[in-house]
Amino acid sequence: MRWILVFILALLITSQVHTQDDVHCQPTISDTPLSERLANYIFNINFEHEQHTVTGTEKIFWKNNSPDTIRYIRLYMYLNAFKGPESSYLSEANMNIMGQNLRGRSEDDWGYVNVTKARQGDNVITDMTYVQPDDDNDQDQSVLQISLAQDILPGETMILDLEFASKLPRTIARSGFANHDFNHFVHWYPKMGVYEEDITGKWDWNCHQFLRQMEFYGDHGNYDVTIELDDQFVIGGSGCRQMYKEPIAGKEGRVKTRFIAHDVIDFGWVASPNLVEYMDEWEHVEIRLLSPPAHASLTKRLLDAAKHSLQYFDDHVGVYPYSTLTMLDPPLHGLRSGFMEYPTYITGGSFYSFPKGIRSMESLMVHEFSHQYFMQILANNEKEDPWLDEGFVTFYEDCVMEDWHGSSSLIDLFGYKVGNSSFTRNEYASMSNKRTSPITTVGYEFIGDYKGTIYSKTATVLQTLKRYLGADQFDEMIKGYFESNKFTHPRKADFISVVKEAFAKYPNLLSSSIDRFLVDALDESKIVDYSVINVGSAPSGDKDDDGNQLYHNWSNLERKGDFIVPVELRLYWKDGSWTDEVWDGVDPIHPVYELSTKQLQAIDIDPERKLFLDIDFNNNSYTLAPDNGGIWKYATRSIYWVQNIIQSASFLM
Amino acid sequence: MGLIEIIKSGFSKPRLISIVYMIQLILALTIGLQVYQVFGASIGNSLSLEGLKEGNAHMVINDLLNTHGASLSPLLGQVRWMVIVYLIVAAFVHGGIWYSIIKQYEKTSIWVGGSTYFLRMLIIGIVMSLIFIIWSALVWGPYLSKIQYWMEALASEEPILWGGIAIAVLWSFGAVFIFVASCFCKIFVIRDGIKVRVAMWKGIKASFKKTWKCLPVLFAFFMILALLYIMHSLVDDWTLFSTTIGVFVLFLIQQLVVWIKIGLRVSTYEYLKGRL
Repeated sequence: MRWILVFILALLITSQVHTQDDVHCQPTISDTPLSERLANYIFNINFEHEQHTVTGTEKIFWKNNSPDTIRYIRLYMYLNAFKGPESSYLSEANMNIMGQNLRGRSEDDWGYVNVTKARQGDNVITDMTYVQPDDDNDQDQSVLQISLAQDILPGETMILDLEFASKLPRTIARSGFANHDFNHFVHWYPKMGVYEEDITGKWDWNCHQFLRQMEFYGDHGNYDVTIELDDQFVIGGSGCRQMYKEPIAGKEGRVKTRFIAHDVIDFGWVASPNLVEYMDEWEHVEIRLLSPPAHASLTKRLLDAAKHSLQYFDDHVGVYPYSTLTMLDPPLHGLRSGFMEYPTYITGGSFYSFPKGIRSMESLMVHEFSHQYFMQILANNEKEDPWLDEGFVTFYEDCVMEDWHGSSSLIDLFGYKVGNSSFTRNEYASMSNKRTSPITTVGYEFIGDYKGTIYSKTATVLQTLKRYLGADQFDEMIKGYFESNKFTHPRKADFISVVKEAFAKYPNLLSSSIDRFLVDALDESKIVDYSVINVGSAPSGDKDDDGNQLYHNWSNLERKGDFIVPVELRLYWKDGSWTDEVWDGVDPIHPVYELSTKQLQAIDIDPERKLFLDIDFNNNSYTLAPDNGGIWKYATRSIYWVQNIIQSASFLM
Repeated sequence: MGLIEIIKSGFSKPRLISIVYMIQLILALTIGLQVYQVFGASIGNSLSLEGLKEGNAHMVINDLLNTHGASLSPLLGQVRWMVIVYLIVAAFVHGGIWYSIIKQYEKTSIWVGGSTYFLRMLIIGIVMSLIFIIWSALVWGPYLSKIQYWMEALASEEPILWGGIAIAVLWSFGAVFIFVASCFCKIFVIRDGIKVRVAMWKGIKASFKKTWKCLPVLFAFFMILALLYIMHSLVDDWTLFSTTIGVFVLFLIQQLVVWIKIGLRVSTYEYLKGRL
């Protein structure tokens, strides 16, 4: 018996050693670079959890791929957005952000990132200034401009050595600490802005301050990050782990972990002693879930969400080129770090004993995973073109969830069923003011319902395109967009061109007006609403050549919105047959008339609901023989619930 | 007396149950028929109606609310007023029920009892409702006011959830105690003919003494009610009830549930009368 125990103990020790030493990782599936790798970083940092700080060195290798000689660079210093209430990010919030009152914060609750020393070769750089390219708030320190000691000629690579210190704030949004055990490091280091050619052909730094309604933008590159920290911490982040918690000679209780990430635009990580690590895999991808102990029963649901997402994207968009995916299911006090996306590292949000019939936690994880394609591989500027990631991601969130769970993909509880795409469409259709800024408005200039427009309306536009084009053809189009633009910074024009190409290749009802459609859908705030005013049928008094009675059949259709789209019409006849017609959708009132031996019974505009942007499907049809059973069902339900309410309310009377 | 006998004693007064049921139905019909009218006027000729009969009508209902929500929202206001009106009507109805149980059960006893004891039932009802509101605020107030703080401070929502469940259980015990006290007050008023103030004091004292022993039976009634709700929600989702006839059958089932619930209320009153 004793030797069995010894054997089991030995096995446990061996497995422990193995999990702590998964060396020589390969961060992508390719041996060759997938991107131009313009911005590359090597970090050696110390994490002091009591102070929530990291200090250390950062070596930046940045390639000048422009025709210009670069004399200064700009760095994102986004942790300074949480340095105090005067930052541009927080001053917009009026001391209250996402329900959190910022008044009464202690000094320790604020964060910062400082460059303490900069060196280019042997030259120490002293000319460093915070600049405010977007507003006049000289208190904002989210962008640092460094005048270089040596010019960087076109094609040359700059090597810049920085010493820096970052301190996490008590989490306001995304980056920060919660109590003294949860530390989330995102936009935590001095990061290169993007030097690029704008749409007017001018090259300059695209390095916006950190403002609300704004996320991130960066060049692809490699990250080599070595973190020294206390050994009780579980640590996870972007890329793969080249070294995990290796003891440091002479420093008891301190260990080193090294991450390698290739062809990514950012690097985020989390450290907490109170996270449990769960592993799974999908084909070439090692999936790691970091979750609080109380969420043990939810891990399968989240890992399944990752696997379904990987499979769907592999089938419908393109290959996931990385070897890892790390998911963080934050603890309750870390929820403000949830619901975000970083390269090969995503954060969700779930609750203990969350009902299986409500799949919002899976849906959110799918959403964040989808960003690996739209934001990371297709690294659009999230600040200027947020629709190119958030809108696409919402669309694919719906696609993955409905592929996985069918039409009741989001909620299926006690008979109440909601599908993702229906929910998304309603987020747009229920907007009290749909005349907000158009989808393609620069993110930080957007006015109105941001989520309803950027996320949901864009997804509804994509759903409309898919339904007109056909599912397979749409997939082909997106695969083309993905392949031609991966590891670059796609813009609106890149997407528009593939849409036009696809609609030309596969002619359909929308093909002839696709240019106008794209302008109205993306650059305007127009509304689609087609409706049927009436339907009628009456004997004409005449007969056809065979002696059959002829009927006047008529209907009046209305274009209630200002967004013009050609639509199909389906005329249902009393004998059970139907005929299809097309309406160009232009006239405000469109009369339909047919002299026929058949009697018109109903008419349906866009019977297959391809025009998903139409804000009201109920008025798309009109029948002379309505089946009121459905109305009775709801009327009797309301009677039943009113009876129950008055019974319950009067229990003490 | 066993549970079956208790239930039988309540359902032995079908006329009484049916009168209460009819009063509730008439009130509810005023809402139900308006819902029918609003739906009919808004989408009555739409082919989308087909979707309403099936379970998955999310899109139909949302489009209806987005476009015609203004027509439906006044109905919610009406429901609020109806609840207030019914609380007054209930004082009359319950006075009649208690009179029928305690004094005599005849054709007109609900009307005689209702009119005789209306004001006293109303006072007891209002006082007990105030006590219930104060109890709810005392129990839930501190918990709810701390949730935001706990969200920021706690690593796990588990204690918040279990704490909430524990408080819900505590709150339910208090609610049961107040309910029993309210019933005992009414019994004292009708049976002994004493003043409301005295009856309330006696009722509360009696409730302190006897509620614990009543809990198993009251819990059994609660479970029967819960079972009825679950069965209804399961049946409601059946595709069998997506035809016009099916909808009518579903309506009959719903009304049967409501009728049984009133019968269970009468049975509860019979049981509590027997405990005093």
